[in-house]
Amino acid sequence: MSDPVGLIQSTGGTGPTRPNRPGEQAADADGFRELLMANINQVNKLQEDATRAIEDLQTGQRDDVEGVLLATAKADTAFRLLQQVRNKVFEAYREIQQIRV
Amino acid sequence: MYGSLDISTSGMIAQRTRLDVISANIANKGAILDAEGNYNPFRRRMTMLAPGNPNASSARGRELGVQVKEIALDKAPFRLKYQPNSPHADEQGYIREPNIDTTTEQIDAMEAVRAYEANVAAAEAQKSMLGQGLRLLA
Amino acid sequence: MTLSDHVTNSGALPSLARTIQFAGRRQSVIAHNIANASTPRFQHKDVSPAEFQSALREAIDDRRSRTGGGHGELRLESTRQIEVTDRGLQFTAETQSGRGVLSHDQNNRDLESLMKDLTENQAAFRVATELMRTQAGTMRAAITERP
Repeated sequence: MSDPVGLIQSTGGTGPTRPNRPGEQAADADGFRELLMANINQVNKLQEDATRAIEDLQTGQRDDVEGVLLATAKADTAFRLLQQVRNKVFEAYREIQQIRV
Repeated sequence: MYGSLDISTSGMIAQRTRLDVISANIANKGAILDAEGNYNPFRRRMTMLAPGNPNASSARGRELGVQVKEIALDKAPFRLKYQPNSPHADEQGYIREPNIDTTTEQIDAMEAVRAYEANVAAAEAQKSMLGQGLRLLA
Repeated sequence: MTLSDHVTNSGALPSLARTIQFAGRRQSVIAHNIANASTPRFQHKDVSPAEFQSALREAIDDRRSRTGGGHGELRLESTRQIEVTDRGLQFTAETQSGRGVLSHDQNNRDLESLMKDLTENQAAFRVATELMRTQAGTMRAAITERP
């Protein structure tokens, strides 16, 4: 994907825009992938935290129901956000697939 | 999960015990004999409450909450009533009667009832908060 | 194990299922005690939640050491008062001593404690079912959501 005007790459100021060099585009793609992977790991950790919180509540190792509810809500929200990100990426991929060259 | 209502429950039990003691005082206002029939005027009972509740099932309930530490006897002197014809009269013709004032007992009873209701309200608040918290879940 | 077993055994679902079973059965024990609050010579008996919780903790720790905790079967062992069967949990309730003063009709009632047991058990049931509903919902969303 080329980015002649430099719209996708943020320049962070009013400096003149310039076309992307190929090396920089690869770095962008890596950056996004890393962001996604970090996100997935974060969601996984939140789910584990929530599971552990729920189990601790049931065994009497903690007695704050509100803390467990918060941890569960947090994990749930993070998961649904990730799901939507996945959906958008799929959508974008489909769109590109259908471009007639 | 278990033990969130221990504190309010201990409060209710303590206030009900107070009410029982007050009822006993009122009922025995004129009792100058004891159960065996000896001349032994009834002494007013006082409920002594203390923080903490060793019977609670949770650690929090044991530390907080309230317990009836003891039901103590009032050390105030008996009332003297001039009744020289009574078989229990002393040399001056007085008998000793229980040191119980009905009005005081009634006021204490009202206070115990109010305190009981307050504990019930606290328990209801706890339940309501849990219900609200559950709405955090989608 | 079947494919659906793998799904239903994920995360906190199996422990929540056990809690729901326990609280559900205990409700009738408590209702029985309350119904007999005025019965002469009745001694109220209850199943100890602490016993259930410690058995559950052992099963969870065992599962965590076997599989890491996110999946796998939860094996709950029977205890003195709680028997784990195929049809759920069976109770042998034992008398709780020191919970109430013996009244003149020899009933060790303590109505406030019984009402507290009822309310707490109900709350535990409710929390467990709500959590299970959420966890199962997340799983369903993961399974059925199409891009």
